[in-house]
Amino acid sequence: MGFSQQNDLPNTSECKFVVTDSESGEPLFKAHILIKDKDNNLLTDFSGIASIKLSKGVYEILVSYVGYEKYSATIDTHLQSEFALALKPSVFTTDEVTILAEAENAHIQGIEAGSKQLSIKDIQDLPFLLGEVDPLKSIQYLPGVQSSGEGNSGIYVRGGTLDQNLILMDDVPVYNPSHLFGFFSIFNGNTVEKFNILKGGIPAQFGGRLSSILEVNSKNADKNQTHLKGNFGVLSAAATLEVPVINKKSSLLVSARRTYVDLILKGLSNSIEELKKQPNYYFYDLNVNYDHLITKKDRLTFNLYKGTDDFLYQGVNDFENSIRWQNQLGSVKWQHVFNPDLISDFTVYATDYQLNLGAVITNYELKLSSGIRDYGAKFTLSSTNIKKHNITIGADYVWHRFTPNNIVLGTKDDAIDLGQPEKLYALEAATFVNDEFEWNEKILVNVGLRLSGFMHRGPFTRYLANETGQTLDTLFYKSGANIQTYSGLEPRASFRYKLNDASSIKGSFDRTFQYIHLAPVSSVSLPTDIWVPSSEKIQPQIGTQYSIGYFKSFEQNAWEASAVLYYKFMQNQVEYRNGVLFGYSSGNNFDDNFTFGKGKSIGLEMYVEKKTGRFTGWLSYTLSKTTRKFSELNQGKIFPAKYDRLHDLSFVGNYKLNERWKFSSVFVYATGNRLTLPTGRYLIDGNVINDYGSKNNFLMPAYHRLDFSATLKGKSSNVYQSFWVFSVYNVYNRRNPYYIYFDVDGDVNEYNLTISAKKVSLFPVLPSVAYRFEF
Amino acid sequence: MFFLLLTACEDEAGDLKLPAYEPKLVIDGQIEQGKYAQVTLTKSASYFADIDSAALREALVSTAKVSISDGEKSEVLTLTKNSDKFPSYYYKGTELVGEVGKTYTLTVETQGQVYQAETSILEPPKFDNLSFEFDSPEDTLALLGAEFTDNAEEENYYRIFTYRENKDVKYVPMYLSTLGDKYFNGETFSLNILRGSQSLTEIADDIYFTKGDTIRVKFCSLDKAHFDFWRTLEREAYSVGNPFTSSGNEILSNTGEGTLGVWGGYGATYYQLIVK
Repeated sequence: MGFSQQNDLPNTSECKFVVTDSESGEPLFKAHILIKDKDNNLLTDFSGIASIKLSKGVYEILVSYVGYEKYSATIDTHLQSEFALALKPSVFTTDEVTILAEAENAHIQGIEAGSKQLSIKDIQDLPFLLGEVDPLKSIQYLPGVQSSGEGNSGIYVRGGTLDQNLILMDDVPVYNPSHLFGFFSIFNGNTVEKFNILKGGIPAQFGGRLSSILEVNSKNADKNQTHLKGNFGVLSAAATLEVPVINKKSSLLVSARRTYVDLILKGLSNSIEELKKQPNYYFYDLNVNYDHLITKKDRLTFNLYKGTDDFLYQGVNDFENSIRWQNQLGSVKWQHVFNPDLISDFTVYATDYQLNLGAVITNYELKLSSGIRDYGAKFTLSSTNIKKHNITIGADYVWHRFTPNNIVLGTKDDAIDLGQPEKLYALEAATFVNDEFEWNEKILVNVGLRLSGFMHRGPFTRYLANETGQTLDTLFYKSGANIQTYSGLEPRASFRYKLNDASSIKGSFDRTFQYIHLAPVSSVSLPTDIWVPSSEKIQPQIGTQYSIGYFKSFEQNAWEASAVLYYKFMQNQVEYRNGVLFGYSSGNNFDDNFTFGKGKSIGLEMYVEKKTGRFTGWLSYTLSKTTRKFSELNQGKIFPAKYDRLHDLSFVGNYKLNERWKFSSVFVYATGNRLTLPTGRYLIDGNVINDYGSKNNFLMPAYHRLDFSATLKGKSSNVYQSFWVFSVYNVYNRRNPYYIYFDVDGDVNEYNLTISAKKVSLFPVLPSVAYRFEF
Repeated sequence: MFFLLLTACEDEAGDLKLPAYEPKLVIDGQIEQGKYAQVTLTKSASYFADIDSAALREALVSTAKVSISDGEKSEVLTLTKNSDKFPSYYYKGTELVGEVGKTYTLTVETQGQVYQAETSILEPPKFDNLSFEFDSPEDTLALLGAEFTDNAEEENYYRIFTYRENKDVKYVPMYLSTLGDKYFNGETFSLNILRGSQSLTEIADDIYFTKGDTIRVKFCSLDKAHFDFWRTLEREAYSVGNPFTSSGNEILSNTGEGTLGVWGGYGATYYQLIVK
């Protein structure tokens, strides 16, 4: 019995590693430490500490952390048992271009075939629309991820729809991550530290959406020193302050961003009377993060976010139009370390999205509001290194309140009573277990099981109506009544088979359930898109995905390449029924306007990245086919999805010329979106009727664009750094079609009608400049 | 933002690949109890083709052989001039009149192709009550209310038209003219008959009837396929051109593959009343 207790043997010792940021001294949480030869992979806790029992000897270790340069060292456990490892942030400011003897090979070693992590440092010098650093847009440059339209931050992942992506900001779901009608995301480049997309091989602790999980993590403020960062661009200004509250124990980060076009216009309007009639628009973001190490084993993190878009147009004759939408998020997270191998996370949160539309014409007033609010909690317990098993168990609980379109009509003096605004209530809960373990040296396996459930609850009123919307009967459910329940068993599995040190094969299987839905009328994501729960009529969406890929690295991991094949099948997909008017309900129930069907996507994703050297960057290409089949649409025949994109190519390149100059470029090419347009016309009983042919019969012209940026490092000292980012969006002024419409001339009753197709393009060549500084 | 919007621009979508359009035969035919069959044949045109009087003349199909059969007897319809409306020619029966309970097959032979469609004339429905409602005694505009009892034994589909003497040139379908009994099967159902526009693409802005006018109401029963055609056609016609609707509404035709349109039987009951 004593033999198995290796740790009692005199020639082993408990080794402790402390990983910190070399500049701030901040411990790095979840840094990877690879002990070569032993093939041991350690993860640090939030004190930056990882420990392991090692037999006495000399080891080579490799430490890696996203956004930091890799650190390799040789340690001798005869001499010491505690090792301080300080990692350098991998910013442009480093004095030398570091070429590592051997870069991290997580690409080959890791199990995640369908995930990619990026740090804000990887993208902050890329060219962006009007110079606004936007993590969501850089995600669109990855394989299998498509942009939803010109300048839009919405994403389609592996043939999934816009609502099938769970966007988490510090573990809190965000329902509408967009500003300015989708042209910018709410993620402020100043507060985001890293972001991670999971599109296949999704561990069981994540669920609730079919296609992807996008985790965006905010920065925790430095606990040793105060920092001020800021930037000014063409569109907005932002500032971020990091303050230690209790030295080495707690810190506060406050960050704000605001657009200032309206302020400039206001200043002008005093002198120029005309501009008073200009529409007024602004958006802002506010992030507050407080991080507190209560004890060596307990950490509390508070995150708050508030962002608002406000549009007001006051025209002549008392005409007024306003649109306002906002996201509010708040969370408290408690992490407890039982020992470095056993960590628990407990998060409670609230998230709220609200949209208000208003119009006043002379004396009449129309108000429309919609939104969603969640209160949720999540608990996970992760244990690492139990006989090479990394096990995570936990549970999720969310209370949803939906406010679908509520319309209030009235005059300025008295409102017309349209009854109580409709609110819908639902509960979602899940429990999960996930195990990642090493089968043998070559095979790494991840298996997980998630059991999810959903309940649509009262109060709720269901109206039974005929085809023309006349109500015939009404059913009432009282508060808390269980109207409809669904549950799902979601197995997940993935594996990695290492062929040799420089190549591996990875595969995954995912089954995912989604209980809340969004069916946008148009193909771009708009703030007016409305979330609805599953109900008696709307069944949960179910996704099944298989993927297999080959991963290879070249020249000591300086180059990485991969090819991944996926197949995804989606059930209970939601679309609007034919002839539904947006904003007007043709039925009396929120779920009357939908129709349901199946979706399918198959694709090949190819990716090459150069990781080190003067020139870095990647090229990604996705070849895919996405189709849908709805019994009530297109005569029940298969039709291509709106965003069926045969080719989708992205190139991202960075070139460091010297200490001061760095150049970046982005090129994208994508097959155009599809849409349904009439192809013919005919006469019935004196009426001219359109003949549409098949659904999504038109292919828009391909989308392509080249962007360019140059970053100049300004005067810097040990405490101060500044950068100028000059960028040009759409360098060769491509007129990418945003939408197509038909210009009709003449009058059919006078037997004279001419129709021509017109396209509207949004952004021509757009230069911009931004200034960024850090204390 | 305005800076952004100012940068937006419009172009001819020259690089938009427009799918080739193959014109289809459009059948607009009906038969009613006690009346001869009427069938208008045209060809659909590419959405992008210009419409002028020459194009409209060309759209007319005047060389087809059109026949109907009730299963026992059949007749070839004759091309007849119609001076009031476009198209100016239609095919009309001269022997067979529609009978309740019979199924009629339409056969169209044109350019070497044969197309067939089928419809039935069902038992004409009856109103229990028709009445005008005025908001106040001095009001001159009235809403027309109707009540009828549905047959519980079968699925029923209805369509309602109105006609104002000396004002309308034809029976005009009411606003959302089709009704199915899915939710009122076997019950007494009341509804408002909202006056429709002459053309479906015009907005129904005046749904009332004027005091003193003589009104006729045509109350019809339809079979399911015939009902589906008008239901989906009206849905499309009311939402076309609205940028906020889901586009591409399918119209469920009952005239078969390769054609557009309808061959519909009506079992009709007529009512006449004065608005007061």
